[in-house]
Parts: sequence; C-alpha cells; structure tokens
Amino acid sequence: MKKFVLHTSLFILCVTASILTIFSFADGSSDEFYLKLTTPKQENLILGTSKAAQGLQPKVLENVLDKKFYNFAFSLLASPYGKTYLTSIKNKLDRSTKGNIFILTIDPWSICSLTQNSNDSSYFRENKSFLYSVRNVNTSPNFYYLIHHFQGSYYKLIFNKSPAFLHNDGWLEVELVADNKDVERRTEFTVDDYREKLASYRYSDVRFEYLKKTIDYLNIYGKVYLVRLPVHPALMEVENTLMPNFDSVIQKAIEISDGYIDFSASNSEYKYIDGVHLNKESGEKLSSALGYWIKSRE
Amino acid sequence: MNNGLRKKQFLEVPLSYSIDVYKRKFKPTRDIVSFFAFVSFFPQLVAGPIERATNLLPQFSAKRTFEYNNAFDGVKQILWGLFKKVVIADNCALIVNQVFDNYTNYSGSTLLLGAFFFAFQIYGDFSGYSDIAIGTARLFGFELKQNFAYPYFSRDIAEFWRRWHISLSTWFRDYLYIPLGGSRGGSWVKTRNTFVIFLISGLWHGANWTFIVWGIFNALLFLPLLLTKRNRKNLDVVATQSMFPNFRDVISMASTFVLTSLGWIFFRAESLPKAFSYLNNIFTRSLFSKPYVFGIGETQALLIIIFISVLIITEWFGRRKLHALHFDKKQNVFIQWIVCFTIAIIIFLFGGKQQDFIYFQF
Repeated sequence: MKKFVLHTSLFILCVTASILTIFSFADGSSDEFYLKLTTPKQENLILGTSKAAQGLQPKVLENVLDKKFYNFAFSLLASPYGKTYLTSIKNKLDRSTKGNIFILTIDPWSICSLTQNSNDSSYFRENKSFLYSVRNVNTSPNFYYLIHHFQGSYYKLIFNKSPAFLHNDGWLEVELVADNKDVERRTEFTVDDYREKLASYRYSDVRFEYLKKTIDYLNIYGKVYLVRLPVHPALMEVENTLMPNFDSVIQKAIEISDGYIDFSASNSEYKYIDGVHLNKESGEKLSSALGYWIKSRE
Repeated sequence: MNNGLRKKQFLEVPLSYSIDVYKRKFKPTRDIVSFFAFVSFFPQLVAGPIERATNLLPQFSAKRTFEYNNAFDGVKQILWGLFKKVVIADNCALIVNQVFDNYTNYSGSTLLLGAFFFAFQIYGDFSGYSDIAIGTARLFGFELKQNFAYPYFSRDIAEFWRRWHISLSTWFRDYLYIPLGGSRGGSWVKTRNTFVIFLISGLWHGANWTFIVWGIFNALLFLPLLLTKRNRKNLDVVATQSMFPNFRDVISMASTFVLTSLGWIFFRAESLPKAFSYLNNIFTRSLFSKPYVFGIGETQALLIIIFISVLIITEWFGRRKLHALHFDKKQNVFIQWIVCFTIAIIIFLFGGKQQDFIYFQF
C-alpha cells in the first residue's frame, strides 16, 4: 500500500507540475481575453465590446496624449454595459489614481438585451460569460480563467496559429487575409448575422442605467469620453433599424460625460475586416483622430 | 446524474438478483449491508456495467487484501477510459454534432465520415465510462466483468454483439432471449426471438422510433448468420496466433464496422425521417468528393485522426487482454508509469470541449 501511495503521489506531482508548466505558456496568442485578466490594475481605460478591443490602439493614444492606456474591452457577449462589466471595471481600475482618461465606446448593441424582458438582468447574456465569474482580473497566471473558461483544448496554449494576438496593453490585433473578395464575403456574412440578431435584441433601460452608473463611477477618477466607432455602412443601416432613436436616447449619458464623438458620420472613410471591426491601419488612423480630439478638450 | 438512468440501474441489478434466486442459481443473501452495497455500488451506479449478483455480491463479504498490481491496473484502466472519453469521444463530438446538425449542407463523403466519427464517439463514450467504472472498482479491490471487448475488431455482427456492452447483451440474453426459447426451435422461433431481443434492446435506449429501427437493422444483419448457423463462427479473438490480421479478416472487420456505423446513424439521428435522409444523402455522387467540415481546421481534423489511430493501434495490441493497458507483470513498472504520465498529459492537452456522457441518457 505504501509503495502504491508513494508512486501515485509522485505521478500526481509530475502531472500537476506539467500542467502548471503548460499553463505558463499562456500568452497573447492563447485566446482573445486571457491576457486582459492577468495584468495589474490600470489607470486609463478603453472600454466597450470587440469593436473597441480591436479598433482602439493604446500605443497610438499614448503617443498623442502621453498617457499609458489599457484596452479593457471584450466582446458583445461578455462586456455590454451592465452590472457584470461595471464590477470588472471596478476590479481593474487603479483607484489610487486620479486625473485619468476613460474612453467608453457606445453603440445600440451594447445597451440592448437578448432577454424576453429586456430589463430582466438575471438573464443577461454576460451572466454566463467568464467576466461574470472571474472576480480576480489582475492575477498572473489566472488559473481560474484557464481552468473554467479557456475555450477548446489546452494544446492551443503551446501551438496556436490564431490570426488574433492580444498585446500587453490589451489591444487585440487581428491579421486576416486582406484580399478584397475575402473582406466582402466576411462583411456580407457578418451583416447577415447582425440582421438576424435584430429579431432578438431589444433596447434595455437597465443597461442604459448601467452605462450612466459606469460614467458616474469613472468620473470620480478622471474624465470620461464617449465614442461611437465607425462601422460598415451596411451595418450602420442595421444599427439604425435596431435603435433609430439612438442619438436621442444617449443624450442623458453624454450630459454626464466630458464629451462625445460620433465617428459613424465618416463610416466610409475607414476599412473593416468584416464590416464591424476596423482593420489595423484604420484602427490606427481612428485612434490617432480620437487622441487628437481628446487632446483638444483637455 | 440522470434520474432515469439510475432508475434503470436500480431495476436491472435487483431484478437479475431476484430471477437468479428464484431459479436457484444463487442463494439469497441475509446480509442486508452487502445487498444494498451491491445494488448501489457507486462505480457502476451511474451507467453500468450491469453487474450480476453471482459475480459481485460475494465480493462484499469476502476479505480483500491490497495488491499493488491490481490497484495500479485500476489506475491504468481509468486513464485509458478517460483517454477514450475526453480525447476520442469529446473531439469526435465536435465533428459529429456539426455534421448531423447540418447534414443537408454536406457531401456524401462528409456524411459517411460523420457516421464513422460517431461510431468512435459512441465507443469512446460507452467503453470509456465502463473502463473508468471497472478501474475504480479495481482500485477498491473489486473485480467487475469486462464490458467492451474491442468490438470494432469483430468479423461479423454476431461477434460484434458478443463484444459490445457485454453486461447488457448478456442480461438480455439470459433474462429474455433464453426464457423465450433462444435459438432452439425452428426458424420462426429463432426469427421471432431475435427480433424481440433487438427491439427491446433498441427500446431500452429510449422511446423513439430511431432506436426501434436501429434494433431492427441489427436484427436484420444478425438473422442471416443465425439461420445459417454461422453466428458462432468467430468466437476467438481475431488473429489469435499472429500479430496482424490476414486479408480476409481485414475485409470482414472493415465491412462489419461500416455496417455498424450505418446502423449508428439511426441511433444518433433526431428523428426517423432525418436518419433516412442522412443515409440517402450519403449515397450520391458527392460520396467521392473531398470531405470538409465547417469550423474544423485541418490541424484539428488531423489530430482527431491521429488519436483515433492511437486508439486502434493500442487496442489492437491489447486485444487479448482485459483492457488495452493491461501490461504483462514482467513489464518494467517505471515504464508503465511513464506511459500513464504520457496519457495523462495527452488527456490534459488534447481533451475536447466537455460533453456529457451519451451513456447518461440511457
């Protein structure tokens, strides 16, 4: 019996050590979110969904504004405005600092809900996401996330050929084939997908209240700027169908912020990888334009 | 845990005990603790194997002494079961779910491949669970009967049913088929009994026409062998005296596998019309096109094929043993632990997205 216990203990020890070693390979190429949950608390934040995660480049903003930015935007499923995202923002924010800059991207999707009753927050989509259950967003390695929420098999931690790479500043760089036909095909597919979403998404007062709560909370630590990112004109039509009164609805949020800039007027000036997300060059151009706009208001 | 399943387990085990006692094959126990421990023995509680009182009950009152080799063998069998479930079944499920849920969009070759992958998924799932249960029991010094004896190396459908889910097949054989007259009597009795047992076997899996047709399909494959008295032709392990099978065995095994896989389509399909439509779509010109599954990358597909190959090769070389990792006692213990370590790491690295045991549905 002693020999068996000794051998199995050694076996378990070796397996555990190997698993920890494999976990140590987790980096920006592992998945689209992991690294954001491993960095220390941050001062200047970029917030929103995947549009912001891919579109706003912290380094470009830093060059213009001379402040280090951190992109803490996730996805439409995980980080629409609501209690879950606000809690995560509170956990990520370095509350010992003041005079920071916060960029909140807004669009109809991020204040809409998929639930039958759009204000029934107990069934909000993000309640099933990693952001709801991962309380500690500043620990490295983040074992809880890796064990409970890492998508797919762990071999991807070692051999990943994903076109997405998450930088240390939270920017998600996506390199997809830039061939015009591919972009057109992806755009068509994505716009169709969003058109299908129209049937299930509804404006939520609760989400909008949480957007205001988020602004109120961040106002304590610095200036809050609201941004509407550009999208492909075809998708803009879908967004206008979803919330034709978007501009008037968000007025109350704009009033409590330090400014709002709407890039949707220049949708056709930017290029997208799929109609929703800006490509790298356009993201750089937009981040720079945003940076100068903020600078002009400082 | 599935309540329906537990009810079944609580039905079959005491029922076989009661019948065996009634037929005086087994003396009733007066030890109430042993009896309830037997009925609710946890490794087999969730999803079998369906253990008989004659084998398991006496083990509760017998004195058990710890043996290193037995316990280690239990660990190896658990790991192999986990490999089959987590690496084989869960990864195959990714392809199978995609293909079966969108079968109208795929070519005949992809659909056929989907059926083959389901054959491995269901084998990995069912036999994986059995291996984990038997291995766990062995850790505690209990010996459960082998439940899957490398069924995909069967040379005909009769052999397949002697090797697939043995505890259930023999349960039906002993408590249903034989009392009905078994294979004694004329052709009519044989035919009737064969259909009854396969129909009940289908219904055991669920009240759906798909399971009934799956049962009938297997009965139709089995019947010609029974009526021509060739059903007990392949009683021994394939290629008993040699390392590799001869050409005839390869053809027999391959054709049995293909037929079984076609049968599994009924088992997996959501409804009977969908099953027939799936089958119909296989046998088109697109059967000879290059298979493609949406959302599955080439690397991922290649990995799944590699692991299925590992499964086949390991089980082929272990086909004469109780389980594939049942090494000879002479084999160096250190090397055996290295093998276990490698399997554990493969399970961790390549385990598919967690899927419930299919077995739990039944």
